[in-house]
Amino acid sequence: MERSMIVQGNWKTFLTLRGEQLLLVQRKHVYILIAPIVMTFLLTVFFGGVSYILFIHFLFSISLFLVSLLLLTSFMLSIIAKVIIDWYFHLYIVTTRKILEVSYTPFSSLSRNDILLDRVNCTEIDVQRHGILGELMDIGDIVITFDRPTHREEFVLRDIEACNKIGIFLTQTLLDRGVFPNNVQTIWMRSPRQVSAY
Amino acid sequence: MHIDTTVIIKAALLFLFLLATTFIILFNLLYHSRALRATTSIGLHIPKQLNFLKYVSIYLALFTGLMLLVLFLFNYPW
Repeated sequence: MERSMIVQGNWKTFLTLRGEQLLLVQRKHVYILIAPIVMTFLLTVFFGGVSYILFIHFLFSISLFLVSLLLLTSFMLSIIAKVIIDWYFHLYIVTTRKILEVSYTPFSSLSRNDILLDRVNCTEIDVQRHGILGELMDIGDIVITFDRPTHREEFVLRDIEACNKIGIFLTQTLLDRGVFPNNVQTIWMRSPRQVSAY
Repeated sequence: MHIDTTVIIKAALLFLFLLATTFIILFNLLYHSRALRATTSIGLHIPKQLNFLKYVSIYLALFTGLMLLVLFLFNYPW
């Protein structure tokens, strides 16, 4: 297990099952913050222009214009702080016994989606990179496919840094059964007609 | 007494700005306190840069509020 797979933090609160060990803790790539921050900045510049036209050319008040600029700047900083906090609280955690996605947005949402690895079979791990930026910065999605008794389920780790390396690591640990060598592959039976058939 | 329409518009805008300033300060304080509570329960630490950003936006909003009050009280008709 490489230390670079686990971002800094105290993750003991997520180790709730017996004999569980941490394998991977990742956030989305930090570069995905650039787009919303630039967008917020551009919107602030736009509204600054609007307030210039409104206060200088129509209402003739420099003091109100300056105040509106200050207000816009502080609003922009608040939004940027919110974007960073939302990114900071979105985590993908893989342990020897479960895969977990935690996403917390203060005041609006908390989602905690976990899959117990000893209840499902991991059948496929795909790595997908999109576009030039993804290629250059090594950002991509890792799609983990599970076989469930009723349907196939996908668990997607989105916009992960070094997705190729992590994909290989997950293939070795989840598909090669390096993590739980004693685990027996489950066989799902399809709609039994009679119990005596077994 | 006749009051100009622009003065009424400016007064309304000043009032709106005051409301916005209050909203920004409250939002920052509450949002960060919630985040901080989550970090202590999860075991994460909030990066120093984020705290800095929080204080900058709060103090900027406070400064804006102060300027608004000064404008409102001493700079009629704005």
